[in-house]
Amino acid sequence: MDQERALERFLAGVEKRAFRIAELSLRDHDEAQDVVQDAMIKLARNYAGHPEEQWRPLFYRILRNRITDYQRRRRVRQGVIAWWPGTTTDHGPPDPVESAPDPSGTPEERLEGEQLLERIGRALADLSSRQREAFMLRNFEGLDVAQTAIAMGCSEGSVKTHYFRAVQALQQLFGEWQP
Amino acid sequence: MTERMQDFERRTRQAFEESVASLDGETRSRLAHARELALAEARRGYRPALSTWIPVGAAAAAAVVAIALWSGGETRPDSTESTLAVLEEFDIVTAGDDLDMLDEDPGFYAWATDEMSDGVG
Repeated sequence: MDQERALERFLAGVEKRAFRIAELSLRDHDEAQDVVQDAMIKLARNYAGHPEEQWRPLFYRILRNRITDYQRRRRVRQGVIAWWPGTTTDHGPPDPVESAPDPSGTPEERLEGEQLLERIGRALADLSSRQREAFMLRNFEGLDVAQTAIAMGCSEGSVKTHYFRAVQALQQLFGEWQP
Repeated sequence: MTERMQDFERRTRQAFEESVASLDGETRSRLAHARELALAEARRGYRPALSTWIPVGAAAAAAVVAIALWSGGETRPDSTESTLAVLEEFDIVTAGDDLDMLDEDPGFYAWATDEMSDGVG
């Protein structure tokens, strides 16, 4: 029972951050929710009995792999749509419920935060997937080098290299966008 | 890491934290629902139903019979060792949880194997 409560605390603490990370990676709200749900269920099913300190890197490793799966499927789908005559990638008019304004914060604050996050998302999209993962896991999620290495499935040296290059590249991209 | 880089890290981290804090109610609700599904899945793992153990028990019994038939009931000097080896393999096959990690990233395990080989050599 203690383990179950610990798992609930862990998932409640990680789910919103994981969602934002998935959203920044996939640039799609619904897909981000799906991958986070998949990752939570898989962690609970397969690793709930593992020591609690292993959950974060394991969870982000599962999430990373789910994101990669979705990106791969999307590439295949877009390839098929582009090939099929008379089809388009346009998803139609925006859903009025989804595009309704968020009730939290003032409109100015929301706009500023959203614009900055949008800029970060665009800049992250220009990085290699490994650099993007290293940056988000280290800087946003706060994993240490060893945990990031487990989550990314690479060596600690690679994490350091990818992270350093990511920060350099992002700084350069952000510098160009400064008003 | 220069001061400028550290400042950049801090500013982007702050923007991320703000985006997490301002998550809309519908998304928060869907994430809470996903968490409930995950916890239900974990509960199944903590208290395995009898029905889950019946096939496992049957498989174990079948393995014991298979081992007995395979050894032909003869007492050979190495029979204990062979039986243990088969049981170990059986144990590995039934320990699905750990093997499941292999689904996640086979490339990582290839890399880890190379690293280990380099270390030995």
